[in-house]
Amino acid sequence: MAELSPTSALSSVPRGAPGGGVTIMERRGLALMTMQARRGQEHALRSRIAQSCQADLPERPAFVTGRDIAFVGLGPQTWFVMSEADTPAFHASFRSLVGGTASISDQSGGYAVFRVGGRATREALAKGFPIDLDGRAFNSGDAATTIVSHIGATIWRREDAPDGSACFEISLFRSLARSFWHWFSESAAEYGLTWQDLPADL
Amino acid sequence: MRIRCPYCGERDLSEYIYHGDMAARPDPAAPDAQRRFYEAVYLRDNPAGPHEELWYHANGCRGWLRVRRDTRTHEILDTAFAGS
Ligand SMILES: [Zn+2]
Repeated sequence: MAELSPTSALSSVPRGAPGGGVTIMERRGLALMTMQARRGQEHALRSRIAQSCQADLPERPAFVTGRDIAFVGLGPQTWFVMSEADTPAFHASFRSLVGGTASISDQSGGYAVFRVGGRATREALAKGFPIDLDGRAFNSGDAATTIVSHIGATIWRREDAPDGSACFEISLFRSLARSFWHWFSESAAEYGLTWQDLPADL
Repeated sequence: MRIRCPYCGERDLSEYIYHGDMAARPDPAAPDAQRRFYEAVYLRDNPAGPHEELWYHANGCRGWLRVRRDTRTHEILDTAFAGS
């Protein structure tokens, strides 16, 4: 059977702009879920996640990684869940892990996740995000659910790149990915914009 | 105007939707329900000063907030989750 691979959220992508100020890539093929603790079950959920995933579910807008999985705090007792193992076996095992302690909604086809970096990342993002992404206000591991150019989005900061430049990831509804790309490519153009890991089918 | 969400932190007004004052909905089963609803809809207090109101953090954590706002200055005096 031919392997079914997920397609990009952007059906066609302009190739960026000359210069090396900003980079972007789409993190394709991720298992994405939203997870909400059931009433009175948060403690039980936390201990199961801690034991099986080696991760402490954040109690604030934050990004944490565990074993082959990552969590972003979206709201009280609500998280975004990501894994590179987007397989039926993973979805089934995660569902059975949280069992009656949380409700899970598969969003693998609902959201798109982009990773942005480069020395001028913050300058480009500041044109659309109304929150302060300066390093003093938004540390590695911090997250925020907000808007970017009128599009609802969640942004979190990962560890800096080896050259010291900041690295962010942004999730948003997949159906709005082209609108996001339109804003982002225009905003980053003056610094130069490079696609990394450009999917072969684009 | 900025509103401090207990979960997300201080955010711009554009992330929120205003729902109205905190006054409880009248009991539709009360014998004088018609008068109570008339008063709740048309005879609201309109205080010049602190006002308790509901805001929805639509473009954030999607939580409902109880906000105490000074209607003269838009100063936000206090915020909490509506369910807390
Ligand atoms: Zn909030």
